[in-house]
Amino acid sequence: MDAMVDILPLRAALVGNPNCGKTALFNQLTGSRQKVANYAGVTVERKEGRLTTPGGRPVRLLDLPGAYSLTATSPDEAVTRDVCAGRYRGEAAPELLICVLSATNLRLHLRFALEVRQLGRPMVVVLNMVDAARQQGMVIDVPRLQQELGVPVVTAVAIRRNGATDLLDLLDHPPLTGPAPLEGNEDVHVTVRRLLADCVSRPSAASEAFEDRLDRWVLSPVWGLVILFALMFVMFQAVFSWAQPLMDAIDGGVSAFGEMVRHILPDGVLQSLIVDGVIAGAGTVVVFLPQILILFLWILVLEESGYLPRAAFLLDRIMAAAGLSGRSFIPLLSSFACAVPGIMATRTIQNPRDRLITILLAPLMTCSARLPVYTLLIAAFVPDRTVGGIFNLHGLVLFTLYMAAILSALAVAWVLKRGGKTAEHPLLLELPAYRLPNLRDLGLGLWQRAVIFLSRVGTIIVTLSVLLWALSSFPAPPAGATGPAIDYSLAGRIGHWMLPLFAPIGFNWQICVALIPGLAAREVAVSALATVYAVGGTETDAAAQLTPLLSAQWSLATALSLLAWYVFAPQCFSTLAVIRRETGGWKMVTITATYLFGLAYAASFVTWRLALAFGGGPS
Amino acid sequence: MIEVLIVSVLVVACGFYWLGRLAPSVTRRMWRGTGHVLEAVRAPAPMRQAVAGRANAAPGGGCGGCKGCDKGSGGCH
Amino acid sequence: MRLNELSPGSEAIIDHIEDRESGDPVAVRLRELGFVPGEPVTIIAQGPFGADPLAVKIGFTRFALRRAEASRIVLRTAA
Repeated sequence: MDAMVDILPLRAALVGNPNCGKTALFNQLTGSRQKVANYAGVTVERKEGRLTTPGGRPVRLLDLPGAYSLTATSPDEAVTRDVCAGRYRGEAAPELLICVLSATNLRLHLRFALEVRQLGRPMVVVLNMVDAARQQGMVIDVPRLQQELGVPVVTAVAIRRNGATDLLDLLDHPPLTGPAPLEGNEDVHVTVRRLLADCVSRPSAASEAFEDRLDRWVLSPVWGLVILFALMFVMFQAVFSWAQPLMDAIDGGVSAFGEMVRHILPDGVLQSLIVDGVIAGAGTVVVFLPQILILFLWILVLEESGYLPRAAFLLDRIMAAAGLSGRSFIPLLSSFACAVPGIMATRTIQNPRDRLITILLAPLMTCSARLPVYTLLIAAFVPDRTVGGIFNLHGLVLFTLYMAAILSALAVAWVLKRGGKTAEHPLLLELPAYRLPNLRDLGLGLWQRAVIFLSRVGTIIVTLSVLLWALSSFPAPPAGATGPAIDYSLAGRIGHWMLPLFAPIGFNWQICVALIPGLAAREVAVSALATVYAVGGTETDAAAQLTPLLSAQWSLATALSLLAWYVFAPQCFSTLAVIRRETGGWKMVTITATYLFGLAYAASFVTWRLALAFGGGPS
Repeated sequence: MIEVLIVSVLVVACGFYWLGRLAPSVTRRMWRGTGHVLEAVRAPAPMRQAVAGRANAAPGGGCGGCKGCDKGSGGCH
Repeated sequence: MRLNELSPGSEAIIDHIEDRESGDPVAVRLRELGFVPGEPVTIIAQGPFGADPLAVKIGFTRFALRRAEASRIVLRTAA
């Protein structure tokens, strides 16, 4: 063991251009599992991790948001600038800057490395993605580069196991002093060009041609849009058709389990709690796991492949017409998974007003928690037919719901923009190189999603189901009472009390009850409906059969009205909480909640009235 | 009778869970109170530590204590 | 000629970046992204609506620029 090893951990920070693989390297070094994807701006906050070098030196490693330059133009870049300069609150300047460069994009990334070098702090340079560079036929003279830069240079392949051993070895004996300023007063771009000429040779450009060929199709005005729509469309079809066998299996398992419990436990309150409360509630939501995973499989593949920024390119003009900057695209797209990370991703937007508007729009994007509500109602009320030979009607309706959300977001953006001055909204978006999604990363991502989903079912949904069961079972009806017992319970009373507000949009009192726990998370509305109907139901048939029950009890107009409600309603505390944190006040929270509730109510009202007019009312 | 007892305990536990999510300051005070009681009756150390841990737990991360967003997975749902 | 007037597929050399105002943030950012005098640029694609934005290749990097941004990039006339 090296006797010189300090006890205090070395404070090091990863800096570099966006999408150069800092977070992949961070995960590799610290064994953590931060989100990585193939577009600029995945990391918007500083993340901290610890590691121990082979020589036993502890290191505290910071992962910083990517920056094109230290003259920051957006909140995420400001974090990087401030940490590097030692101005970040509660954070001493790092003792070592680990500047990560993608070997495939040296012309751009070397410029930033030179800018970091000017800080005069101890630094090392990591050439990441050297495997991809080698595939492109690029030969990099690392010793020469190290000599020219005057700082240690190592290579790494962050996405491969043991891909960062050189860096780990280097961290055992990090440089203690910063590099001397470069001689002469050369322009930084001239230096980059000189370094590239001296240290890098690229004989042929075979893979370049591949990227160009692919981009000719993907970015083409006609085929690009065709590909984009086909991708979206197949995604929604897949959510229904691929997931169905798995969902049927889970559904069967849940029902059988409910039956089994019903037979084991004697009739009484405990049986009612387990079967009508927990199994009916949590069981109906667990069934949706396959659909959620398929949706995320698509999102992950699109993220990893580098397609997303190209979709932003294709749709930019539409965004511009609504007055949005192209930068809003990726935060809004992340919101299809969940609005919370989407709202956090707005930190990459430079213009504060654009950022606020994007935050206001993010909850309109159809997050994955809405999927159970949508598919439940679609399965119950839309006939399972094939339309036009290939399209499944269920998938088509789901696609329409997503499109409705997107179009209304554009409309809202357009209205909001009319109030403001027409400033210029720059796009300046990097289109990254295509990358084949790594199977291990996809598997890991899906696994994380499954764990998150199931742990939500196990905590939020089970506990809420138990509480809702209690509310809908007690107090018991007085002796000699007529009518269903649930009408006398607390939940029944709350539902009836809310009814005057929601009856004009076609909701019944059961929906009103389900809306309240649905605030904790949208999918809870499904479990709540299951519990309310299970407690109120007379038949002993099992828990997870909500679909036929709804189609028997609700009119089509009610179902459509509830779908319209869920396109808009701000039914999510987490989203409102993150808006408060990101905007630092309740003002935006109030505005968001008010306008979304207003929209939801209006949309449901119109839907209900239209459906009634077209004969979809109660028979 | 035992059934009613089990059911009540479960319902109260779930209620407490949600109280802890929505108003952590209230439950923290209650855990602290429990800690003092355990101290007084000289309860076994592991039990006391468990209660002390809950009483001094840092408020849940970022978005309404929602699980996952401050952890590695980078997402909520 | 400016970058927004360049026809797709043909290559040109950047002459300079024009500031719309003093310290124009877009111009500053363009320079940081490597749009500097002497660099060759190619337009690889145009957006489907109104041929906006432009996908520009510079070195090994591709960027999407709106026309207003591209018009700040003045190209060298072929000598």
